[in-house]
Amino acid sequence: MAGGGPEFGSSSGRKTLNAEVNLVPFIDLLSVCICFLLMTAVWVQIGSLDVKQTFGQSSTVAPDAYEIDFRFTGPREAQLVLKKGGKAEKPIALRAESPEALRAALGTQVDTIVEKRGVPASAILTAHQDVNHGEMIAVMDLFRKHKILSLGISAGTGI
Amino acid sequence: MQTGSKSLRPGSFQQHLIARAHKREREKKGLLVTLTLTAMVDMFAVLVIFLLQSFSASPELIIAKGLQLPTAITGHEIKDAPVLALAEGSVFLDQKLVGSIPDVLKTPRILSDKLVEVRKKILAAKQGEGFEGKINFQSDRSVPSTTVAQMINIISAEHFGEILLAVIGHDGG
Repeated sequence: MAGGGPEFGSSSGRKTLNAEVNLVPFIDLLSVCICFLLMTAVWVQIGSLDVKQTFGQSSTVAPDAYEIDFRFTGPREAQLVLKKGGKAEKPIALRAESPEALRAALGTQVDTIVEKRGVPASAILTAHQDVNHGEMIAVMDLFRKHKILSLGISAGTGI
Repeated sequence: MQTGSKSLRPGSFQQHLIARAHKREREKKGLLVTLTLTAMVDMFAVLVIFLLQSFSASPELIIAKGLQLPTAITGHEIKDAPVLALAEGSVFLDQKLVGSIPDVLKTPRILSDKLVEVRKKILAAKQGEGFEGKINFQSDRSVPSTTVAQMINIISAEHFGEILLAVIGHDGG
């Protein structure tokens, strides 16, 4: 049995003073605390992706900076346009067999753009009704991996 | 059998018999084993302190029931801000029901009014500090991106310009 403390007694027949401390309830209490904290601890890593949104026509991008305009045109196709100073270049069409393949193709394109022209200042993603939120986040994640940290979301026309 | 000083000489047969009888008595009384629990109590105390510290250190973000957040590698630590959640076809602001998603998209004023109240409360609480415009946005991964984009437009119209999309972190692969 867990316990600790000295025992005082004498050989003259007097009652001994038992100063032992019973630590069993204390160990039980610690076990219950640990079980409770382990069960309520959140082991899932929840993070957040920043989206800096401006309302209306105001833009936070400097006029001489590159900007990517990424637009979903379907669940497995998209269009990438580079813009500088409000002028759009020729759009790059992306098509793939699956959303993962589309992201891989997009990653390759962004690698090429970053290599040739440096990291764009921002990227605007336009949503599509056949593309879900998870897919949109995956594309944002891809841009952030390429150090494009200023991201915005547009609902697109006709919505 | 005679017992006496002569018969209890060391090595004598009588002494052997007495020693064997004492040994049997000891065996019948049982074995007393002590276990030192000091190290275990120390370990428990350290575990409790560690779990209490990690429990209170990180800000909590309550995930709405049934919500499957999208995954991302580049997410960073969540911040303390109001929470707007799209879950089970409804819109919740700080765990309070605002309305169904179609109703809110049809009549954005339902959500805008609530956001104005939240903004006023934040300004009242942080007097002199200014309004940062942060809001946590939780949405199930299966919600159409157009719905999310429209909600974000409604939010940003009420000066919540820094929208923190909640994601689940996972190892890169």
